[in-house]
Amino acid sequence: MLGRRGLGNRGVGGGRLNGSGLGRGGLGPRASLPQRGPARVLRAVVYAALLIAVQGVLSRLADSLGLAAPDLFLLTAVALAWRMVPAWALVAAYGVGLGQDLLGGGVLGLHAAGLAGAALLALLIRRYVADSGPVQIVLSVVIAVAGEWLTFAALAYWLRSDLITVSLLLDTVPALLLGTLLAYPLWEWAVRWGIGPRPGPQEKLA
Amino acid sequence: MTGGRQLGLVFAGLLLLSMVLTRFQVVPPTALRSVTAPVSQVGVVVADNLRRAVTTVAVQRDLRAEVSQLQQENDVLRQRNELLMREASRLKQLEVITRTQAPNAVGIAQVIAVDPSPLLSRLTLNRGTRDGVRVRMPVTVPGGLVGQVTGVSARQATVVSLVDPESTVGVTLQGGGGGRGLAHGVPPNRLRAEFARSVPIKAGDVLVTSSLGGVYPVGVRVGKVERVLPLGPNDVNRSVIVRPAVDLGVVEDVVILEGL
Repeated sequence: MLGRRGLGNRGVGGGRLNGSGLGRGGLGPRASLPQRGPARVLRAVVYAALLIAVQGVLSRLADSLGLAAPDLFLLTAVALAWRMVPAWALVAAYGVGLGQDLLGGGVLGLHAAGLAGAALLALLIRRYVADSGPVQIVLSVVIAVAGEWLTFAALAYWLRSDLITVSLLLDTVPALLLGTLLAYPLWEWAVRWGIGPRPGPQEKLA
Repeated sequence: MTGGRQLGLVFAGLLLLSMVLTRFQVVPPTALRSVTAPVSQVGVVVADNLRRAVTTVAVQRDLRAEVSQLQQENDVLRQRNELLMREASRLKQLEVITRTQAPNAVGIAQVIAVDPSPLLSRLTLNRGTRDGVRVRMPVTVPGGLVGQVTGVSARQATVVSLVDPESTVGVTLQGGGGGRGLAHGVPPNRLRAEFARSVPIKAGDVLVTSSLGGVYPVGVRVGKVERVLPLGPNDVNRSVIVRPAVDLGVVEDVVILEGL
């Protein structure tokens, strides 16, 4: 089971989002992350700004090289899936995706659903793969990318759009997956500083 | 309701929301984007500057390699230019000599050795019998006479210059001033010419070759009278010291003429 409490209780879990789950740790000892208050909010804001700026840098550089940039929004969704109560992690990932849609200036909801799908599958990895080593990291990212693109495909089918093509999948997804995997260890530092460290294997799952 | 089911319901709800949003093509208001625009712009500017910096470094590296290659090519071309200039100088020298001294030049030769003796003045040239050089051929430069070939091998020739003590040249005053004389070499760098007493020779007169001896073409500049030696009561001839027209110490390329 991914959770034993109802979504209503997750409303309280939203409070917990700022509490024991995310309010610990950081780059140093877990206790160094502010529990709540302006400092906690400030870190989240700085993290969001850093996310937007770094993603902009990577996208711009990757465009000039003709490659797909690492998806830091996806890594953020995965990070949220590892740190939050599952249902709220989905909502939070959806919110991150909405932010990505907002930045891209396209139709709202596409990336939001994609990141929600990524978070959903990442939650499965969190639930069933307890190891916190490289295997879990690789699995999380691979599954999250798969979840995101499956959701894209579902939405494209719903829209009867040719947004997802075979050539796009063959050309873009492998490079994106590789870049995201390579970016994961570095970006994890920013995540730990902005959002907080991962909870233990069984924490926050109940 | 189990957590997995709840999670599925949440995802389904979010997916449904996205389906509605995408179906109705809901576009975020521009005002919202303007909030994040400065941050996005920072990323773009940083990326562009980074890309330019990398490009600049790469271009500089390429330019450095190109400059190095061009420098090498420049050195080669300079060397080739030097050779061509020397060749042109030689050909020009040959043209001047064939026009002003004698039309029957054998060719140009380079001085490859000089006699180390202070009492002798002999040059070794890099042309020999294979090049048509024979004994007694005159050797000149545009500035004047150098000497004559006295020995020749297959690839080399020995030239006795004007100032060698064994050299004798028939001379006369330039411009048809009259009088024939003989000039002998006086080491290390002068000639002594003897004329009949009746010849009105004086310092500063220019001497050229005469037909005397039958070795040199007529009219090739030999030198300038530097000093007229005083006549003794029993002297039959008037002696003068002649400064050669050619500085034999710096001659590099010479022209070999056909003998008379």
